[in-house]
Amino acid sequence: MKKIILSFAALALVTGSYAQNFDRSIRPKAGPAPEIKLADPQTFTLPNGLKVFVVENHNTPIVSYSFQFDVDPIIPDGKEGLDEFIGSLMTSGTKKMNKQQFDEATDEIGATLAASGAGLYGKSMTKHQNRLLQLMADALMNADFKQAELDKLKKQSKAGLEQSKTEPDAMLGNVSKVLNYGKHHPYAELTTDASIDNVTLKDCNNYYSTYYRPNVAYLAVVGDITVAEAKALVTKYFGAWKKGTVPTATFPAVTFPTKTTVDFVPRENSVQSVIGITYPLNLKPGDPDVIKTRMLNEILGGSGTGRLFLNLREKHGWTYGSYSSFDNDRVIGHFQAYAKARNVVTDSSVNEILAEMRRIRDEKVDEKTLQDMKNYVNGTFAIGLESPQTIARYAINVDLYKMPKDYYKNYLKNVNAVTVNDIQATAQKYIKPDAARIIVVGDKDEALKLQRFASDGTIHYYDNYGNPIAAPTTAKADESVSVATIMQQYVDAIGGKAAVEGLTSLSSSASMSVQGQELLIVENIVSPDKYSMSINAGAMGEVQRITVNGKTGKMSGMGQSQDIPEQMLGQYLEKANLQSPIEASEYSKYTLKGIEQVEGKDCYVLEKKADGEKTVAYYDKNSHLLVKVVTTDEASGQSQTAVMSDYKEVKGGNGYKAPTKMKVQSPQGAMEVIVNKIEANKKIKESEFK
Amino acid sequence: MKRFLLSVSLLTAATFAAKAQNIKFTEYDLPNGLHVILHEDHNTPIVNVSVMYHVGSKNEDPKRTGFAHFFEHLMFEGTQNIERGEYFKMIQANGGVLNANTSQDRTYYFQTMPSNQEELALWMESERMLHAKIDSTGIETQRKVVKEEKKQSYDNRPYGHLMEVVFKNAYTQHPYNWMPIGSAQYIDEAKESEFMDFYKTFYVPNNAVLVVAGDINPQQTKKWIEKYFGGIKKGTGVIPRPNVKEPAFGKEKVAYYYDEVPFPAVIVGYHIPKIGSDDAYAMEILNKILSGGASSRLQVELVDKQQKSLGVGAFNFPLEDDPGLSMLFGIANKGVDAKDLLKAMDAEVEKVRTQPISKAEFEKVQTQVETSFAEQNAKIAGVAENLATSYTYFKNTNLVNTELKKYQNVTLADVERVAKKYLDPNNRLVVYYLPKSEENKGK
Repeated sequence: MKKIILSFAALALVTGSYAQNFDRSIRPKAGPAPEIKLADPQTFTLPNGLKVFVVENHNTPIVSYSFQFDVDPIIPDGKEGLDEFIGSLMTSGTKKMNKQQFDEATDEIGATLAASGAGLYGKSMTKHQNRLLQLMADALMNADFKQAELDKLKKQSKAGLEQSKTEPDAMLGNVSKVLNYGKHHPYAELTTDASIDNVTLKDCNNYYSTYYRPNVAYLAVVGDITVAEAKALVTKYFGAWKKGTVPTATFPAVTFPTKTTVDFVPRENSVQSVIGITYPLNLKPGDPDVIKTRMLNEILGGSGTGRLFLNLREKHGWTYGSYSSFDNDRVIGHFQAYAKARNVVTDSSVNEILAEMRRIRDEKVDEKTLQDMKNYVNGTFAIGLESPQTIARYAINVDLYKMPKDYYKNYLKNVNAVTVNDIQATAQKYIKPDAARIIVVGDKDEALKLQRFASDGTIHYYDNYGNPIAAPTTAKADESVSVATIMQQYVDAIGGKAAVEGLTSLSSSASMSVQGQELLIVENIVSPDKYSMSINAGAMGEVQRITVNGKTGKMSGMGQSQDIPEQMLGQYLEKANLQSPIEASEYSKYTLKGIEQVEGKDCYVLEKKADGEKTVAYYDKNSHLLVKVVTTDEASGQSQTAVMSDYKEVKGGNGYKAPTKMKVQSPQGAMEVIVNKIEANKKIKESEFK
Repeated sequence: MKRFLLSVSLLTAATFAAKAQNIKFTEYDLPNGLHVILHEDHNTPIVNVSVMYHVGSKNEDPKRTGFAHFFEHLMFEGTQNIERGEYFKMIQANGGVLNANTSQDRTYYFQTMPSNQEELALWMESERMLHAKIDSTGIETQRKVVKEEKKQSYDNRPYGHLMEVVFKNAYTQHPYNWMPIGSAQYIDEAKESEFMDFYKTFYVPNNAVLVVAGDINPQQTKKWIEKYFGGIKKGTGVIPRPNVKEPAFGKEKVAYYYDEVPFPAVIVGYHIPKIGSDDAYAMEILNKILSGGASSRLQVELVDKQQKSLGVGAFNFPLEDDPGLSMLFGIANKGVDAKDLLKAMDAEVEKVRTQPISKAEFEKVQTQVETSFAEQNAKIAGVAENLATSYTYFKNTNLVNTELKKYQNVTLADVERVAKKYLDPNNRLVVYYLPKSEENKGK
């Protein structure tokens, strides 16, 4: 024993002195590559058709059960989004227990339980798995959908949809699907407010009883469990689950582009353009080309070491990120090269992405780049295997996509066999800069600069659902039209100069409904410089108050009060001046930009920049009324759009008219304001503005 | 016979479980003070190499906030033997993944590699401990990158300034007052020599823990560690650590903040004892009673029943020094006033302070704690970080194996006691985080 200790000490001495004398600049070489063992999951099938894959892993006393349904559901026309509700409904109560009891039971065993339109996932400590399986079986076979729960989900879904209508990535996603697959393809179904409204509880029940069937389900059992235990438990809890006939959607053929087109989705007040260069892809999982396209993609734009990233971000600094992807799918997939770039470099970014797409076709990549990417793929493959779920997923993929049995066992062998010639040949087969759709969501002023990329020399415009729309261009207004003539016509339209000139005061009350909560807004104006506004929220009373009196103003709410900062005061004083439409000194702050359409009607566009804020006002060319105002904070790029309608004669106003309906879209969401009462030239107490 | 077999298999499952929860490790110090922790696990042919430096934003000069986090960036700039921009590439091109993060208390660097690249990873970490590239070019580059990061992660993200507002008001004396992202202005003002001083003070072996975990041969690993780290000199200076006493709130403190957010949020912060103390464990149990899972009190009452809130939560912020901070937050549903939401939250807080908690509810939460413990060591990277943290904060690496016991020692009476003691209206900060539109309504 002593001897051993001694020799250890000697060794330490040796290594100690060694440490002082070595060349630090020499990079250590890799040891022999470790063998990556891919275990075979155990598998069995229940008499009802449920296919079960078991991966044992006893590192932690945890077991997970994951159901995946191999379905291509038929969503009835006009009910898009129906499948999004099923998961939440399934875990919101069963015939045996209501939602609260179900949640309570899940938490009691510290379990995770989550469902989606095509799956159900549960996880707990092994010792609690019987209870977990009871709950999962109950959700799969005995869920009890409730109208109130569906109504709540519909409301949430609509709120989310509202936000996504102006969210540029969501807009790009929608339009890409419609243009790549065609409007009537199941992969291009888009959820709308109307389609959410159309979904009934009966539709949800139909979906649940049609598609949640064992004969189309895969179950992955992973963790601290043996195959024998898994078989006994799965049989016990899911053996009684009944088979069913499960219909499958049909997929219309997809048209592949033969030339490159530019498809533009105008988005008001964008500070960045979102670019997606895309086309459909006939590449099915398991195809030998999948591994080659993966390696090709790693080099082109798979990550922060891809060429797109290095070019657009590292070299040019135009973007935070630029990537590419190949989506392989057994029906139809797609390719996309993506970037989010500042407005002014939209066309330059498109140009560089196309150049990188051409370069990888035209030039061989160098050996070192390919080898580095192979090392990266080898390493991350091994890291991925640390999670036993990966092994289950691979086994299910093999069955689901009818892949060769040893597909994943040979995965790295096939990765390592890819040559630089393969990369080029694969690029020439799958990268199509001259037969792609360049889809851009952004400010319409950037659109025309993209014309040079369009083989037909035309920019095609779409709305956020992929419907073609007219070019949102600004036409030139007639020589005879000026800000002064527009304002004169506007004043005539709202009751004439005399009525406007004679306005001394205006008081109104309006209501705004936000998710069931009624807000009351009371506004009082004494021209030219007194303004007050108060917002009341039902039983809570006044939640906000603003008063402006000449040069000073105050705002209060939440028990706090403060002076209005000077740069904000101007906005209120402008509101307070009821004569501003007839005062040249006021309206001459605007310049005439031309004619654009608002909801299909020609409007004159006037623009003003003041106090760090840009205001764009739209006056209808025929009715002469002000129909839309967009204000943008120039620092943050955040904007708010108000659309006015239903102009009505105001009581006591000698023919003066004001809008009684206003739709407001802001970063906080959309809301509608309805004016219930409005009166002009009434005596308003001075105390109102204190 | 069948029955017998079954019970045998159950028994093996049980012993497996018990064994799996015991994380074996060896640890020792190099003469230069570097603490080394080795953990062997051959399930997957990968290795995790990580270094935790015991420096965070709390070690910063108040006029140089953001330094610790800035260093996290600087450490990827290269070393005397690794070219600028090569660090990331070298790890990736050798099959690894890497990252780093900075908290108030420590800075953590980690990479997971195929196990045959262990020596490379050790060399690379030793390179940046010995002679990282700290020069004007790197400083300039990272100044820009950190500013972009601030825009992306804080300025342009809804509720991105929430923690900043909470900490600013919860700590007036202690350097927990500012967040690790700090101020761009201070980073701009700092001279090159200040960066070098910071490096020499804090990036020394006697202020670091090296963890090597995974598919390793410990004998070989020790030799490599001796070779690459043994020659690095011990830091000679005193490592400054704050010893400021943060005064108690005394009475409720209220703060307002306006931001581009869709819905108002309310955050309530209570001073509590630091992590690792018995009362902090009891507070965590209490927080789970309030917000752990769909059947928790705040979730059921505020989100499901009253529908006043879109999301609620209660948690202890992990802080090494006293006092710690326990937080309660709620995001108001559309049309719900922030004050009204707070009233509803307070009603639940009052209930845990004044009414007994049922045994069933207490046991439910203990089960949740046990489950999350069982899960957290599923991946080697997680095991490595837990080992590093336990040593850095408590000098008790074995806490990874004994911490569950600390939770299990908490009694129902303890939970009721800490609720009364710490969720006191006079021991709290209330932050209203409101939409900008509420600041200038009527626009």
